Amino acid sequence: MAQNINYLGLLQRQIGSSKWDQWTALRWQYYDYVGYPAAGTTQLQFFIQPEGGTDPVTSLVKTREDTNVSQQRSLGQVYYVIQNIRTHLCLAPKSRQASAIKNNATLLFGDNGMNTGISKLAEIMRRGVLNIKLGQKAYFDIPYPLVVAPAGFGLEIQQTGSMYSTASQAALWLQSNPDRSLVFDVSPPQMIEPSQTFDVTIDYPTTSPVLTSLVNSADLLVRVGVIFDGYLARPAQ
Amino acid sequence: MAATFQNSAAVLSYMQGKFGSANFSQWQIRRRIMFSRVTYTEAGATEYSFFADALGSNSTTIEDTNMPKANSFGQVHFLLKSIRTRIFIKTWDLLAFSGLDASTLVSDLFMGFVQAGVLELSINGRPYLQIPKPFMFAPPGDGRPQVYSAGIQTMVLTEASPNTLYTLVGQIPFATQTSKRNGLYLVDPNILIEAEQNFSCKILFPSGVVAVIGTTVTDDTSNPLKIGVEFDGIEFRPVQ
Repeated sequence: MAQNINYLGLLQRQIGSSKWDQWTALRWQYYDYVGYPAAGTTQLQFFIQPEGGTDPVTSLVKTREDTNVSQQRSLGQVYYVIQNIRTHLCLAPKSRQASAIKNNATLLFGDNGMNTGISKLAEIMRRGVLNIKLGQKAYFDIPYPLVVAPAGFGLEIQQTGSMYSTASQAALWLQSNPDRSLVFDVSPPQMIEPSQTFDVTIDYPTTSPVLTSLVNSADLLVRVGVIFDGYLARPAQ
Repeated sequence: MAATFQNSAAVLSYMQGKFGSANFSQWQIRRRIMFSRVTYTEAGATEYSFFADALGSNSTTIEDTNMPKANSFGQVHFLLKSIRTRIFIKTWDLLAFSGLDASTLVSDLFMGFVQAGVLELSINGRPYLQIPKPFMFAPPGDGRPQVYSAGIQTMVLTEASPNTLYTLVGQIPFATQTSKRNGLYLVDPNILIEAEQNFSCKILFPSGVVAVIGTTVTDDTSNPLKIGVEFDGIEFRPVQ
């Protein structure tokens, strides 16, 4: 958080009557990661399946690693101020990939490894528009969100390594831009009131890049996340 | 509850109001890093708890933690300003990289536990932080070494006319958590954890354990991979 704004004061001015000294303000992230369909898609939907729901792409139960919302399209009985928006494209850990991928001992550095997958991830990052509606009203339409609203966290990669034989490929790697200063600042900050419904999608006018049988003849499990970073106001206990 | 504050001065005012009779001119403050690290077992686990052992208990050393009590800061107040995660390994032979994923910890950074998990801080049972992918979202932001190399490590040619490439191992891979200070996870407003207040800090992997990939580097007994969480903030303690 670059700024330290008195959000409880803001709420007091906007809503007035509540006893705001009995409320606590916290920095808080609401996040939702969804599986990227290997066959590509024209829309990714976020915050549709809460924790405990089923990811429609992976058919896996969503855990707190995937999302921390407990209701569909709503943050529940809290006030929340979005200070910035991040999107994150990432690979599922190797151990959670299809067996043909996770059992490849030279997946990361060999010439039969991730190169085609990484090249395709770079393609995904250049596509789509992030649309956010509060109620039925459009509030944000961010082009190429994985670039314009990057994660702002990641690794410092000083060098990748490679091992190859006759193929003339060096091992590639890619990550969302980790520079914190590049996240999408929501200015002025946007408030989401208790039980306010919202829709968050990344839309593609034509089918997004296809990942089918891309690595070791298996589908690469890729996840896309939308993270709201901001301030939560909730009653003190 | 744990109160939150936008600056340190407001904390003194809060404590004066809450505790009243204490003579706060007899208190002093200091910047302090409270830290805790545990072994990340090669098989992985669904949960790792931090700050759950006081220094000396369960064989913890001064490199593992500086906690005076389990899950509590004891008789001092602590204003949490930022939170960091950290990965430790005693010996990482970079030159052991053979091209196999198992031969370097970079594999774990690229596609292992570093890309997973969620950090939760609860105070008196109530959640105060939920940070996804904490090893990246809450990096150490420190002065860790930078490693550079270039060129070829090994190359084997097949005898022919002319000789042809058989195998080639390129640069030794190297990556770390972010050292940039502007990437630090700032706890803003700051959270006050009061004396004797009970808290828990965990990194969870509810979607399933993530085993270590770089298993030729690590060894659970002689060269364990460790992960740590650090609270950076201000400690309020009585003047002695």
